[in-house]
Amino acid sequence: MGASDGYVVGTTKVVDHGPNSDRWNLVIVGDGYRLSELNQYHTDVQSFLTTFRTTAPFNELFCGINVHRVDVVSNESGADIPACAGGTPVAVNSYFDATFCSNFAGSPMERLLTIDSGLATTVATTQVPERHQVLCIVNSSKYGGAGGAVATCSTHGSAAQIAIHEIGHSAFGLADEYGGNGSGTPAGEPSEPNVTRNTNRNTNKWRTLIAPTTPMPSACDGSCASSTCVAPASAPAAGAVGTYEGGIYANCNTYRPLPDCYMRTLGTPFCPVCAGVIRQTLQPFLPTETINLLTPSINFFNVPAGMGGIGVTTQRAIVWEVRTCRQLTFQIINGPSGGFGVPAGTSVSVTADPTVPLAKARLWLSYTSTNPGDLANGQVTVRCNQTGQTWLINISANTIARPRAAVALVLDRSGSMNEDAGDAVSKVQKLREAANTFISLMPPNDGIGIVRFNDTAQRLMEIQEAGVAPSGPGRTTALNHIMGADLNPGGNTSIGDGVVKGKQMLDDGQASAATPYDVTAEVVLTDGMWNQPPSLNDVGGSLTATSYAVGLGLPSNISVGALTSLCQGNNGYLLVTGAITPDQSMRLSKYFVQILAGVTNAQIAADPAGMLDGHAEHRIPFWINEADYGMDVILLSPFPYGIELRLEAPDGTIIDAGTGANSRFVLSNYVSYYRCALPVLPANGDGSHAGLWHALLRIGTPNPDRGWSWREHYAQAQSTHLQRQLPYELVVHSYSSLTFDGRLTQKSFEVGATAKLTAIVHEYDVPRTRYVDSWAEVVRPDGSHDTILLTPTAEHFEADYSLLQNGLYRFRLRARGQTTEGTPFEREKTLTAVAVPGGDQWSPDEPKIDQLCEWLRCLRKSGALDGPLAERFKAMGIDLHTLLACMADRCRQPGLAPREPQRQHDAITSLSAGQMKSLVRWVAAELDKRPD
Amino acid sequence: MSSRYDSEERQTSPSRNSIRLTFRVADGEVALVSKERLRMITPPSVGERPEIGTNGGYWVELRNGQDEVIFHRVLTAPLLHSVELFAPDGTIERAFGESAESRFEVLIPDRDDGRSIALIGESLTPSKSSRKKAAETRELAQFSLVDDEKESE
Repeated sequence: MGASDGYVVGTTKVVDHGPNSDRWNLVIVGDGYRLSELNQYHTDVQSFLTTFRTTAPFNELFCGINVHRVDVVSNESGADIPACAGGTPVAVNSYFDATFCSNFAGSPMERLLTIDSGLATTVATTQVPERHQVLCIVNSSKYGGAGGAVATCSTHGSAAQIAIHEIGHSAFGLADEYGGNGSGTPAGEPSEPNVTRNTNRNTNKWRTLIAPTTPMPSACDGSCASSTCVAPASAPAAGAVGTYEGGIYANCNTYRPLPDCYMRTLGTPFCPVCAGVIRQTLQPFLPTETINLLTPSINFFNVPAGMGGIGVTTQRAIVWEVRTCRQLTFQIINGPSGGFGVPAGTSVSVTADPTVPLAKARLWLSYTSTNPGDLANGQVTVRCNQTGQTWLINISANTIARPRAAVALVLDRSGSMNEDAGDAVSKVQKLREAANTFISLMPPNDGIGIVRFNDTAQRLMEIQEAGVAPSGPGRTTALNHIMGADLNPGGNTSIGDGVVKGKQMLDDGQASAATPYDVTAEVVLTDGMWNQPPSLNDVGGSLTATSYAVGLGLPSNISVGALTSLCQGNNGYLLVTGAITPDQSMRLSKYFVQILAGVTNAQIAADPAGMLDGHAEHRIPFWINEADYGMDVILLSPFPYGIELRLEAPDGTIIDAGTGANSRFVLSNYVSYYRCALPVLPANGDGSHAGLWHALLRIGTPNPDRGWSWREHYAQAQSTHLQRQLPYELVVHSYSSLTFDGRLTQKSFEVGATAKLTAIVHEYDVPRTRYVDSWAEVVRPDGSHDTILLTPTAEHFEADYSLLQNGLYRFRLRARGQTTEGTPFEREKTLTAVAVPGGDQWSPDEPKIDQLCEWLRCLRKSGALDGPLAERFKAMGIDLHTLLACMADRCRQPGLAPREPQRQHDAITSLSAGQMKSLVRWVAAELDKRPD
Repeated sequence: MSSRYDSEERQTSPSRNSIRLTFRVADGEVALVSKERLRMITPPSVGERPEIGTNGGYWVELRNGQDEVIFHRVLTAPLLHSVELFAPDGTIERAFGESAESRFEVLIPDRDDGRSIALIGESLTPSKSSRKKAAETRELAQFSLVDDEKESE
């Protein structure tokens, strides 16, 4: 047994607080662990470290300590257990020869667990020359341990205490404080700092810790006749440091500082004398404590005025970066003046993580906006209680009008917009519904303009303020263009010209606006690929507005790559609908509503769908938190007039169209909504703001007073075609200081590409990943579902997803968590990704490769390639079947399964005349390459 | 108070260079087995300075050229061979016995003015390190630190 019974694998610095030359180095070796048990050894080391670093005073000194774990493999597992306590003796070949029942003075001691300490010291020194203490953990659950140059303990749950006691001796020079018969007790005053024979309060070695009211001696043992201890008249106060008889192996005439201590009984807290010795010993190893104020002033810059006259309350933090081993408390001692608030209290305590001594302390201030143009100034003074440092922080704030956005809708009216979108409704009708919804939801002070395009583009409506919903003048004008003949389909597709006209319209709208808009955005809708100049690549660089695009239809028919590049280069994104199905008939409208949220900086807090049936009421829950200052509860439906929509506040109060106060109900042809400032009921602020809300939906009852158009809609709802069933989509937008931004980026659109997902949550501009989860619910092209978790980093969440199927992917990116005040919140965003063969290579002069593949399959299935055609090719020296086989190889890719004949037909007929000609020319060119 | 202790500096900043001394005690003799210089912080000695003839136990003194004590380190009875026995309920007792040999290490600051090291204690012979009546502390051995070569057995 010995060094031949194993080998040293290597050393890992499991706690790294800095260079070994600057820190107190604890080296841990293991014995009795086979190679297959090293993971268990690692766990056992962590278990010891947890006990060690949570034992005072090491908990406040841990950042001065490095811990090095030496992996040692033993041939056999465990430790020797000779039969000193009965039972079957166990002999183990371990590297350090760990042994229970070690012999001492001729007698075996059952719980005396010893090792070859010389070998352990040699190994530890070789691995970490700067070691201050060596500990050996033995792979045995039997209770035991030992001291000396190398402290030893087993893996028994309480054995770590043995090691800590022994470290008290070897590393800190502390004496034992338990008594005995005096054997081994030194004559004279012990040289150790925690035991004494001196009960004179003026000369006692720990006199500075003894209160004047503590009797000296403080307690006598009473068990030995030779004691000179005089018992005090009254007992000392509990926990009072004094002189208590008994210590360093003698019950009499030696004294310890407290009745009990770790150096007397395992697991008992170290007495103040011993703790002080440990602190003083480790003090030189601690990193320098630093406190850096990162925010010398606080500025609430451009806080928007509220909704409905209620100010927006936002928060900013005074931030210190601290490097410390102890708890530091930052306390406001004066202020804040100027009307600023302290939403999270007037003090904050911070303790650095035991493994990373760097932390941030945040004291929060709040400001509530008032009227546009108002300014506020104040000051606050903060002190660190432990160091006495103080800081005077200047605070300033200003209120601005709520940001206004100007939006140019750039709408496709090419001939293909007459086609069925997929649910027996034409694409142009879908567009009208979605645009109608968008315009109906726009805030009254935002601007709207419309561009249409087919072969060329025209500016239908210049940027004009929408006006009050539902019938403000700009809103009405826009709706008339949308619902009228201006968008009747015909012609080709010049998306680029539409984008250019949209940009020019926005520029002109800004120039002519009495007050410039804060945000400008273009929203492009198209169902196809651009086939008329200018190209999208040529126009993208000139844009300054945020650019969004919606592709209506199959991704293979849309300029996905070019539109994605256009949008991502201008802080926006592309959404592709895919074929619209009857159960997702409002998808295009939802996409427009989501884009509107992006334009107006609203957060999507809920997005459920359902089907109202009969008289049953649907109660749809959604969370509103204290960082939200406004909300829109939006109902999309083919017949919103037929649905009664109400809100239930967290305290149960019902809010309906007639409530007023800070809520307003708007009803239009395709959408109804409540637009609310929070709290909705100022007289009941707590009950109508943060908490769990419900949207209450049911099919409405006839109400003749609601006018002709309502009766028409309701009659349709009651028709046998719908059988009193109404589909709906409920979307909740919140205007909030708790923001969520989801992004999807693709560098390639080929099958097999990777979609990179990112989710960013901010609360009062501070990144949030703690107490927040983020995930994505995926619908693949084949309709199957997947869910992936996004991994938190320091400031956001991320994940990669492989696009292995051909077609359109939908990602519902979500986040759920708690605000810093503990209120639940939810946020989400829908994004799409596309992967198609040849997705990176499409040119308007050539049909896409997947279209060629579909054409090939159609030809082969239909039998058009058989017979005389093959003979004619053969006469020209071309083996047609071989040629087609080569083409089939190109098409034979994962996910590129043949589609239904109906879709093949669509694929063929979806080729434009120009593309068909190109295809024929290409085949002919291939044939021409062959010699006659 | 002996004058040799007047020179012991209360270090306000720790020594960043140390010497690890390894001693062997056997047959009534103590030997300095090795002397290793390391770039590591020397833990300070905490507590009152022990004095020969006043304090019991064992300690090491680092002395300068004038034989003044410039650093000390209290030792936890390396020459009294003993073991601690631990019970699961947390109680501890120490058993004493004789030992033919023991080794111990001491970490001292590597100072330019350090010239010698002295081991102070009661006895080099375990049987005389009495369990019943301890002898007065005295200088048991002294070693020069001037030779930089590592001393080995």
